[in-house]
Amino acid sequence: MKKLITTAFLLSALGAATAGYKQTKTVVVQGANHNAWGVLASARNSANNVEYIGCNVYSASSKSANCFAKDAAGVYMTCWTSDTGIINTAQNISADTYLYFSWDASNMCTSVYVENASQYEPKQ
Amino acid sequence: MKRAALTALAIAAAVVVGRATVSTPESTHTERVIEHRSVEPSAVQASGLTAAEVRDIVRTELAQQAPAAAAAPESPPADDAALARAHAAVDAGLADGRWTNEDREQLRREFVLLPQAQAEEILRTLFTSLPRVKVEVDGPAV
Repeated sequence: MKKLITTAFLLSALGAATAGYKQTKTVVVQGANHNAWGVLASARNSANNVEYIGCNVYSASSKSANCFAKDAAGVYMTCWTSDTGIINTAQNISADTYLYFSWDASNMCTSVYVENASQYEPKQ
Repeated sequence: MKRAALTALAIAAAVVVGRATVSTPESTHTERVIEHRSVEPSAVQASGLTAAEVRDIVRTELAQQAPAAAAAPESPPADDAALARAHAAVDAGLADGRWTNEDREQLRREFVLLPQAQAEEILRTLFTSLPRVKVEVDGPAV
């Protein structure tokens, strides 16, 4: 019995040691600072059913993108852009992306930052 | 006879150059490349045509093709009816002080038909109005 417990402990320790660095980043919307960020999967996996974050891209007769975020408190913000560079960046968003975006006084997106990294949790 | 043949050859070369470069957005780039050419084609030298004459031939050919290239639209033509419907969708959607999923769907049907300038006009109109209403969409506003 003692041997079994010891083995289980060692396996558990090994698992913890090899799990890798993890980060959870739920959605933050800072209206006053004109920016928002969060990990898509963290928002999806959060306990609340309120928050989300993302961008969409239109490629029809025109090209544009909208980025949007709502935090757990229900604060919502969205911006739009027709800037080719920002649109191209937004197209690199994946299910586990850390996304940051900012906007100006007329709600035009001024930047989009996309980070795809191992520490961010996948959607569950 | 030989001179005529070489002249025809030079014109043909000019047409080829013109066709190869007519789709290049910056026509000034094409001109710069031609001007910086350091080696004269042997056929041109043999024909007795000067570099200036060859440039004239090339420019004439490019000028004849330029109007067609300039007329090629980069974006679909303006659709005033779709723009009017898109504006109506925005106005109707915002009229009750809310911007909802249904309002968004109504706008999307017209929005996707709009060329770039008109789409941006609609986005500008909507996004400057959103802070004054309650946004009830479950994601993007458009």
